[in-house]
Amino acid sequence: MCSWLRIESFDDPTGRPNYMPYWFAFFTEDQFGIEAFWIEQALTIQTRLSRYSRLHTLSQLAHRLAI
Amino acid sequence: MPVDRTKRVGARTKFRFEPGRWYHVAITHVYHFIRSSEVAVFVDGALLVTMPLPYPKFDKVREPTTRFASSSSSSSSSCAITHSWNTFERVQPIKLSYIATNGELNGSSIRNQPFCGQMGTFFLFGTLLRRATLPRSIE
Repeated sequence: MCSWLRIESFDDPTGRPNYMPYWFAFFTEDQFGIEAFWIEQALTIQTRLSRYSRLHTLSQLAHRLAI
Repeated sequence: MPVDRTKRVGARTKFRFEPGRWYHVAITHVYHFIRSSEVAVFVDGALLVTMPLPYPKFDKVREPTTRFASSSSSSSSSCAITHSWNTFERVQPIKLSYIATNGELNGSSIRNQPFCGQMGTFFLFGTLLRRATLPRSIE
């Protein structure tokens, strides 16, 4: 994904602390997905996974090996 | 109160964006099945950083279910608790899409943090954006 963007200010216009302007956020109904935002002017990309995703991956691997 | 079943993993760049300046920002996320998936961040066409970041899974994952099974006979009785990990289900569609804000997730009281600035067209590619093809997306 890509875009041209220009941030006018990294401070919350309403003066609230801990302001993290968001570039995008894509989530499923269960709130799994990906989001990107700025923390102190540095871009951060964050993935939200299921707490059981590691087991899910291992389970998928076992399933593929069985096939 | 809803239970947060998500695990958050982030990758933070060191590059500091300046306010009031236009940037072309591109993100590519490569899925690897065995080794760590990678995210690459390009700013103004230059590769800024490559970092490991888990690829989001959109499969619906069931939580483990606990079953209590018991059996009895005339001579003995036994009981067992079994955990079931049936994790294969349908792929969930993306239901919450926000550009330039994080919106409100499932109506919870998450703080809305809008982007204060301007943005051009937001491109979302189905194929991996490579360094060689990136200049075309900048133009």
